[in-house]
Amino acid sequence: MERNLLKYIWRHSRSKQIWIFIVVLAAMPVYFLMLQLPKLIVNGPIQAVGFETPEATQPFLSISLPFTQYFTDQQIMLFDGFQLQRPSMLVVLCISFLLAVALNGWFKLYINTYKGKLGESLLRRLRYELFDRVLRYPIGKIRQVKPSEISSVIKDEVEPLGEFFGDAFSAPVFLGAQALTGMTFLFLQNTMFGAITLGIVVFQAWIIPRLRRRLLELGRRRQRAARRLSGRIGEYVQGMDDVHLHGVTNRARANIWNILRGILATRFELYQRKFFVKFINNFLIQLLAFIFYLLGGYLVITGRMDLGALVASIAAYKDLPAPIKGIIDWDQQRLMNQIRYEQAVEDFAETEIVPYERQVATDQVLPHIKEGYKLSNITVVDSSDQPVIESFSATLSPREAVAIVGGNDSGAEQVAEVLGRLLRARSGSITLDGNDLDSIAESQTGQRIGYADSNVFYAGGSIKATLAETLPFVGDAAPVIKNASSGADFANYENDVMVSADVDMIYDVDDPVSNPSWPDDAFWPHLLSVMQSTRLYNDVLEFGLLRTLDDEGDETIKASLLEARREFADDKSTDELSGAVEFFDPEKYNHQLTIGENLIFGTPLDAQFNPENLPSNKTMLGVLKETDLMSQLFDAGREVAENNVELFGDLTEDSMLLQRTGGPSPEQIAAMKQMLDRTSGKTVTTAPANDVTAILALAFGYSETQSRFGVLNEALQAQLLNARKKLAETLGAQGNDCVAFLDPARFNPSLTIIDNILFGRIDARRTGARDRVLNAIKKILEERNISETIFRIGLSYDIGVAGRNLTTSQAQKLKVARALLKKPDMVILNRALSALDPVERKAIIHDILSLGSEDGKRQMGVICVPVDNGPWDDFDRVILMEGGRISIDGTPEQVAPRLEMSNA
Amino acid sequence: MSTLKDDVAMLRRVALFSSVDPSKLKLIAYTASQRVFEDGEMVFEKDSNGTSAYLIVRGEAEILVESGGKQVVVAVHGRNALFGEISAFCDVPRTAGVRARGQLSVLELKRENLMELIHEFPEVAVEVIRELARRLATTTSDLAHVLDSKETPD
Repeated sequence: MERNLLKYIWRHSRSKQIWIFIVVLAAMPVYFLMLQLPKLIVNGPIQAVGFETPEATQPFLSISLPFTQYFTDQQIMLFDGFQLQRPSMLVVLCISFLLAVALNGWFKLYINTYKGKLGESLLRRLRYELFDRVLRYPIGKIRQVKPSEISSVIKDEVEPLGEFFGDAFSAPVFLGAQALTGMTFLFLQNTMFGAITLGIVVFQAWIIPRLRRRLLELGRRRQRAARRLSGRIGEYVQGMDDVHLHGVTNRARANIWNILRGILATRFELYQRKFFVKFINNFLIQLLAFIFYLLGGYLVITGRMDLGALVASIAAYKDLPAPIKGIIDWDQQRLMNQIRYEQAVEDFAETEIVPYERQVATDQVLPHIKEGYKLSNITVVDSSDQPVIESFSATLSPREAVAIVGGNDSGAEQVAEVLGRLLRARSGSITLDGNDLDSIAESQTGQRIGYADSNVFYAGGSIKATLAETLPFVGDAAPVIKNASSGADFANYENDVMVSADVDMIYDVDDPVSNPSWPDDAFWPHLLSVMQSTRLYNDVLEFGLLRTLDDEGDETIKASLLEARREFADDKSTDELSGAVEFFDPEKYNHQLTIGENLIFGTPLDAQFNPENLPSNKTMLGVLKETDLMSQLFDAGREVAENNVELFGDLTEDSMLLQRTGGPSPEQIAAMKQMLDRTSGKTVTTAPANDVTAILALAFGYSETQSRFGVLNEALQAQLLNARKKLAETLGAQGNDCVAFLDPARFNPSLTIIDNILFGRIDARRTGARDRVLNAIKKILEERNISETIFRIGLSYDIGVAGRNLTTSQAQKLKVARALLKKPDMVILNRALSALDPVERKAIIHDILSLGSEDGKRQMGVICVPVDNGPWDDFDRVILMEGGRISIDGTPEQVAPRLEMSNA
Repeated sequence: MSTLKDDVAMLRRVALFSSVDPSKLKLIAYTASQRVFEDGEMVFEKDSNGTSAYLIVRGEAEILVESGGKQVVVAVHGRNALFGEISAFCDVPRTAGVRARGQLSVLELKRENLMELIHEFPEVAVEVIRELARRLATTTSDLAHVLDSKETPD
């Protein structure tokens, strides 16, 4: 990668820089004209030079052949111009001035826009190139870098370069040309003034680089500190658990504070230096003004210079400080950006990257693996140069299932890593189908070889997206790719900016991740069998059961779920489930629900009907009055309060018992006591309104199964049922749909799928009931052929940031599922599924082995570095490793005696 | 469904709690959870690390001991019987397994709640000590009786 910023810019934007240069040159005469015209206006029409008589005329737009006066005595005129009188001349010159100003402004606009576009596209290229290098880092290197530092370099550090790219060549040319024009103009006006100005500018050019050396060092230091800051913050965020567990938040604070302090000191010194240099510059430029006014004024007073020339000189001078200051600023920027660039690309440029050919994109169907791996004399060393694998030689065919067995220091895991190209061999050769493994494109190994170990990292998103993410290729289908430049939104900016490392074709990133119909029918059976064999099917099914049917549910699914509900309700007659579920029946009081829930008997869709708002809900209170329940509920609420006070009133405030029972807090108990005192002997109509609301809240929140105070008798239950009906009627009459009522004949979209089937509450007293109910429901779904639909819904379960919504076992299973989903020719399982219990893990491995073989013929090679010690019967071959070497390699029967020995 | 009042009445019939103040008994009942086990369902296995004591509200529970690789029913407890209290008061694994015979309703008394109750109301502890001592006396006299009958052959 190019280390010199200007060279990098030149190489990638040469033609554009030249175009800007041309435009800048074209703008010069206009600029010159803009400076020249005021002088002509003042000297000509205003001061009447050449208009001595009222009838006098002067030529306008006369064109002469340049330099001809030096060869002949007379200038050769090409066009004599228009003869104009004094007022006409004033108007014409002023209009010309206006035109020159406008044209000059237009040039500036064009140049700035062009520069902006150039800078941004070059920034895009640089960022892309840096990320491309990250993708091509060897695995060993990428494991050593801090993620947040990499993102800090690519995102933040190179950002300011974007503004500089456009100015890199055009600014010095533009400003230089301006300054040169200004200087020339000044020289033409007055040689002495020109010489003085030149002297000062040369002095500036000499002094400033000397002042700036320290500035550059500070710039470097600032960048390193900023990168360290982002690295440290990233580390703290990732390792936040330990920060809290060890109580070292203050150490973290101190650490970051120190870095911040250092950055402030550096930045402040930087500011001081920068403004000091600016001060010197401004002073030197203003010194010129001083000389101009003093010397020029003196010369005019003494009559050795005409006033028009001085005004023109001063006007010319006035346009000089800006370009000169601009050039100095540009040079400063150039140096700072050169440092920024060097620092940013340093690490990227120094790292050896894998050749581009290995990652080249293809839309071809890739060849299957026929012969498999051949390893001869492989030696791998660890970071301290100690051998972990020595003289390993073996062939591993896609027609066999091989177990590479060995303890943690046996080198078995490293063999798997070498096969997966996650680890490089120090010496020896590895071929895949006769080709050097290093020379094989990643697209081929990516499609034909599955690899899973126990490390899991997911970016987040749904299970479906996580599965699809690694699937540009499946089986014998060609990779889905599209033309990179086909994005219509970007067409304007594409031009020639794609980097060599880029390809004209990129994988279609929108497909299949966001494709709602994925997985399609053809792929579905394969996905199901993979999910079944990795034992993820049940987990995903349960995720699906816990979701609500948003828009995904069409009427047929709802109808089948309703049938499942009916079937499950009929199933209650079986002994296992008898009485375990109290079903939602509009005609019956449900003891698992609170009084409030029993009254509304549905899910609130409007916050007004949320449990906490019921005691103040007008509709609800109206219904209660109508059904004569107010005083009864008031009494019930008081009874609940009395029971609470009786139970907990004597307990000390810090009582663990009080906290553990989840009962009311000591403050609530005290409030209940006061409330009981205030309402003692009063009725619902005479008690204070606030107390009535609070007491009703207690009644609404009461559930007989939870508290068992014996508040609910049969009569009250019947009255509550009556009120429930009244409320439904009232709301129905109002056309109000703020409650989704629990209707056994209707699907309730605000309940989860499982609640829609269960349509009741599991009796909390029955410990094993939940599992039994779940199994019964799954069985019904299976029989009705809707479990696949629910599984599909479960696929959209959000796995959370870094997969945190999954258990470690689920995450590890998902990793194996991803490896199998692409229908690989060979799958490598490197201590995969380590978090699972041995029984389940062995069953999954067994299933994977049988998944890969049809009619006793092996279709998919399996290389397994197992977590468990056997059984090996499923494998065709076992390689036992000890101390980095193969100690025996043969069929399970041949290896068995030796295995027993090593286990003992 | 039993109310707190029913539970209190039942607790009072248990020797361990018979002389505990009724209001405290209500608290014990409140902190206890109702559990229902189906026929043949295990309440707990032998050697498991349970910390709850159980009081039978309805139904019967079989006490199981392993003998020669088989589960043998050594006793059947009925209504108002307390079991599992040994593990509830001291840290030992379950000395026997318990299985529901028919549908079994129990009150589960958790150790931490029992301990907290003793901590909060020391008079409960006195009652518990008295009851345990009574049991120890009974066991000791039983043991002496057994030893006596062994030493004196007929």
